[in-house]
Amino acid sequence: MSGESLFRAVGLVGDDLVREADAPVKKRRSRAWIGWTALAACCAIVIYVAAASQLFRAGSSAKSTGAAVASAPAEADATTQTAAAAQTQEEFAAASAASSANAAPEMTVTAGSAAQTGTLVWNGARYAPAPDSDPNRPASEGLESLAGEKLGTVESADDAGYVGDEVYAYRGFEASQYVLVVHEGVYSLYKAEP
Amino acid sequence: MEDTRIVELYWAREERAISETQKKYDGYCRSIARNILKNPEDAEECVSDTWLHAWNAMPTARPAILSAFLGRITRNLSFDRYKAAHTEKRGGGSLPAALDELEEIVAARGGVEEAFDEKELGRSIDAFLRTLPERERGIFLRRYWYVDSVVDIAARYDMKENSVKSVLFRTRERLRKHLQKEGIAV
Repeated sequence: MSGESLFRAVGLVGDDLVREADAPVKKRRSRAWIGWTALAACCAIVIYVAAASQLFRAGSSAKSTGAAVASAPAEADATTQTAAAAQTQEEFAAASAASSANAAPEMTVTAGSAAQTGTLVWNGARYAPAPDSDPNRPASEGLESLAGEKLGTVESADDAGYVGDEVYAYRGFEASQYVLVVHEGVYSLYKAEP
Repeated sequence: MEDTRIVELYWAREERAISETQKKYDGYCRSIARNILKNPEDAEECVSDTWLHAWNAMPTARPAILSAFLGRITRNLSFDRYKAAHTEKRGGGSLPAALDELEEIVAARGGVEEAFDEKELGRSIDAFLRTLPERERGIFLRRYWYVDSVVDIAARYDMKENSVKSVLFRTRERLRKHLQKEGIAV
């Protein structure tokens, strides 16, 4: 058999195949969009990772430097951090500073001794501010309405500003248990320390 | 004019059948002839002969696909003319290269040439082509039926020439294995 024989044999294939081979070619859809989509996805991942990394570094730096970061946040890292990171640091530092400011008194109350903060002395006995959870606080009405007779004034206090404030009896209770102290026009309930 | 109407004209022996055929399929048949024959005048004569052969064939033939029917006549006439006029190895159009490529299938056998039935071979090739994806089948037929150049096939299918050659090579290899499996000695 020769190539010519094969050539003639190919000529015998079905007419439908011959017609099909002469039909307009269906253009394959361009797959360029697949490449562009993949590229965009890769870019998005890179940007995300970079941003997350910067944020993590900024957070770590702020935590390690503590209050120092709050005082001079962006300047210290200006040469190595991006503008975005610097902004992040500033925000973090500002948040830290605000948090510290708010937390200060709370930490004093929870961590410090009540005898050293806000306690006062009347009639030789030391009183501390009654907590909000004190069961003997009035449910709704103001403390003013529960003030009894005037007992005297604060003799000494952790905060010197309280010295001389008026002390009133707390209705329904012995002065050895509770007293009301008026500081700058505001009534506060104090409980005697054991 | 619809192909069925043209065929009816042939069967009615109306000469207008030839003019209508020429009007509709002159370019189609001419491209096949020019792919096989280098000489444009030879190609023109083959196309003219195609109408005459069609006139003689109908009736009794009633082709279902007129284009393929006419194209096959042109292809056979052109190939016969190519062989008759072919005194040099490289004589005409895309055909010599296409024949060389088909020779590869034969050469790969490495055995003794055996008798074969051309129609049986044609049926086997037809069956083989129907197992191929449409695109590969089309590329094969554009090359070995229409005798298009690789350049033209690449342009038609929006492919690189090397890709076309690669597809053709793989298809020839698969055809060779198919024919061997069918027990048709090539």
